[in-house]
Amino acid sequence: MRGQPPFVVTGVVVIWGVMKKFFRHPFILSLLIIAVAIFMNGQGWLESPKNVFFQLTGSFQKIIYQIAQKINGITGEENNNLREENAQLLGEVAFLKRVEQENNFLREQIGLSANEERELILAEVIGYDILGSNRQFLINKGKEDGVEEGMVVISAGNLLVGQVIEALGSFAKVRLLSDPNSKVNALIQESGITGLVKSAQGLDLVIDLLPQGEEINSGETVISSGLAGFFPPGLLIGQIQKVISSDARISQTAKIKPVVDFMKLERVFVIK
Amino acid sequence: MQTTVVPFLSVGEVAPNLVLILALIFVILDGFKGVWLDVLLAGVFLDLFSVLPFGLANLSLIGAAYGVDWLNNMISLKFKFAVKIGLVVLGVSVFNLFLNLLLVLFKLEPIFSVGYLFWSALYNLLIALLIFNGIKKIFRKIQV
Repeated sequence: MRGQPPFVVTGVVVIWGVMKKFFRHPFILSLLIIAVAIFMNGQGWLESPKNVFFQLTGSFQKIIYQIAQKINGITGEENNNLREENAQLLGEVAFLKRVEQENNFLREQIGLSANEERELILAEVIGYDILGSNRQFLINKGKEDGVEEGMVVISAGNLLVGQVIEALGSFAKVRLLSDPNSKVNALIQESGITGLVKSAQGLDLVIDLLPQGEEINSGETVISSGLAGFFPPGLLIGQIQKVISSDARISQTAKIKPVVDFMKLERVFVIK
Repeated sequence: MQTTVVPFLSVGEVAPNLVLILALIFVILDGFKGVWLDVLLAGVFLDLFSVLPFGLANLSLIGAAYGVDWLNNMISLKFKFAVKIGLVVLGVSVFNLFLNLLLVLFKLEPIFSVGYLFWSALYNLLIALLIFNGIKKIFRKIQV
């Protein structure tokens, strides 16, 4: 027996050899590296490298994105429509200003405080969803500018766009309303009926959990209700396009036409 | 390109995934062993620009790439170009399905519908054909 390694040592050597081969396999090695990266990201250790990466690529991305927007962009017909729409909106703005003045006057009379002003951070969109489903975008403002996770993103005119899902030093990722993981408590402005806005197929939205028996008409306006506190009240989401009602269900669902064209955003505001 | 130009190539909700297609094409041409580090790096890029939990896109990409390589090794001697293109389509579908599955495991809503999976496979097939043909022409010119 002398000179021969004990059985346990032989076993360990064999297992070591097998394990070495196993862990050298590219697939296993890849999985291990990803597991380590997930762990490091969970601990927040990847924040600085990510920020450096976005700083390096950010300005380049912004230029390409803007060129792509221009090429994709605005045809003559669209320009005319926009001009017409602009004139219409200007009229509405004038009317609303008058209503606001009256509102403030009445608030003073009954002793209510004025609506609090929202502090907004202007940001530029510099890139869209990498997975090809266009349900998120990247903005050029981050923690250094006061952007934090969970903050709400709107476009000009108080139109709800989405929510900041990750904030880095000088960049942030925004999840659009059209992402299946976005859910907003909303109400129909005309009737006050509340529901839950979520993603439908494509870039469309639906408002779900509307009580049965309530009359909902197409063209009615859907705004955020402010319930649950994630989204401030009064942000415009869209207009009812089609009501999907079935007696078998306990609630009604309606398809919404979003007021924001999620694919044509250049500048957005983050509500602080 | 993927985050700036490609979104404007979208038809309905479907846009091609260039990173995925290129990774799969390189796996088919060079084998997983030869390009696994590049695929891993491509996966990191996907994760960096994605709002999904970090690592999920990379896991799906590695899974799809390894699966495609395994199938490619099984059939590469018997069949030709069309099958290799078919493998890209399969890889795209496997990637999307893996990602949906991982999202469900993480208690999130799946981001791809059945319709999306179908149209995405078709659209990516078209892009893969263009890229494959491009690569073939470049190689032919180099050989001449």
